[in-house]
Amino acid sequence: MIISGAGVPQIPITEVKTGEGFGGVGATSGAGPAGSFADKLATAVDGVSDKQLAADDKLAQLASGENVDLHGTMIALEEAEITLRTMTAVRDKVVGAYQEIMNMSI
Amino acid sequence: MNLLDTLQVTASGLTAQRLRLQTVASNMANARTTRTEEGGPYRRQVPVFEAVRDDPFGSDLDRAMARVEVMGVVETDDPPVMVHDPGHPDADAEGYVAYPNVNVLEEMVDMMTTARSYEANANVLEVTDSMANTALEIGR
Amino acid sequence: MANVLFDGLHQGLGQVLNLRMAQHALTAANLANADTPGYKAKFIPFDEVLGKAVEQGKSSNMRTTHGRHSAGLSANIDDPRVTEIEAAPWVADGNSVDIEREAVRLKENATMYGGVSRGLGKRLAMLKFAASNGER
Repeated sequence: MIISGAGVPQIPITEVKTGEGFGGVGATSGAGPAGSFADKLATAVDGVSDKQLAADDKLAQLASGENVDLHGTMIALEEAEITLRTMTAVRDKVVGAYQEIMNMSI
Repeated sequence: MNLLDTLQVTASGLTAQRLRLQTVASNMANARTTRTEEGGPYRRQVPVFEAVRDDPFGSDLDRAMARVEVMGVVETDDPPVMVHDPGHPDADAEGYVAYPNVNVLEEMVDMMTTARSYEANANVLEVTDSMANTALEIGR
Repeated sequence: MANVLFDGLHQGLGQVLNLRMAQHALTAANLANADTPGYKAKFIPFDEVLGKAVEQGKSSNMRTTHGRHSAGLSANIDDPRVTEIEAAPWVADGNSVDIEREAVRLKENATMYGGVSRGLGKRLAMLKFAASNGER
């Protein structure tokens, strides 16, 4: 769905992995590549996108009468919204933390 | 076609059914009326319904939309019911009285179907209202 | 910009709502003419009109920028087909309106309208949330 393009910040995931941008946060914590913060973030963004797509699928099927699953569609839409909101909340926290670190006087 | 047109169509249905109920009431009330202004017994009245298309040249959908209109109320030609009752002031030479061609049982059935049709239209009105409210909630 | 924000599914949903509204008007007309001699009950065959809508939408609205793409809905249905129901031969006045059938269609249609419009609203709410930078 377009949400992933319009609302979620366009974080260049591949660049994050190389240690730039947000990756700096994960890299300094010294985590391995498997459990790095960048990976978690990438999974989260994908999760939001997946939920949106799943909800879209359900809604399209409902509208076309292919599969009239009223509650299933509403649940999928709610899940999509909640993941989106969670993701946004996490992003805000991360950005806040990043700024705090950047403003730290050393 | 929009919600307001739909409301007009439903209103036409309600009006038609109410008029039909009026004729039923008239028929029932006059089931034994032997005198009328035109002379002779009362004659059973029936409304004539016609489907009226507002836009006969529009799209498939526009052409399909039809209101109902009462084109008039006609008196039926069925012969009156002749009952032998020589004491009746309206009895003819042979002692037969011409009673209206109204069958009360038939009128009762008509009354029930009228009520059901009226109810159905009223139901549509309610659903139209709820759909309008749903539409107004988009993006709320 | 508008096309980026409002995808094929969004437009398809709007058209489905149009169709549902049209079906509602048809049901209203059918019930208004429940006792009109010779009147034929009419309805939109949703199975036929929307049967292939999802697949068509997928092929025409595929987003090449992304591997996965949103389920499109190609409901290009400005002038949908309207089907008439023939009256049963034993019906004296040739009227084919069945009040019970129409009552069911009325409710079913309103439910679908409500469901689709709720879904559309939810999608818009998410867009709004994203567009307002996560506020509210």
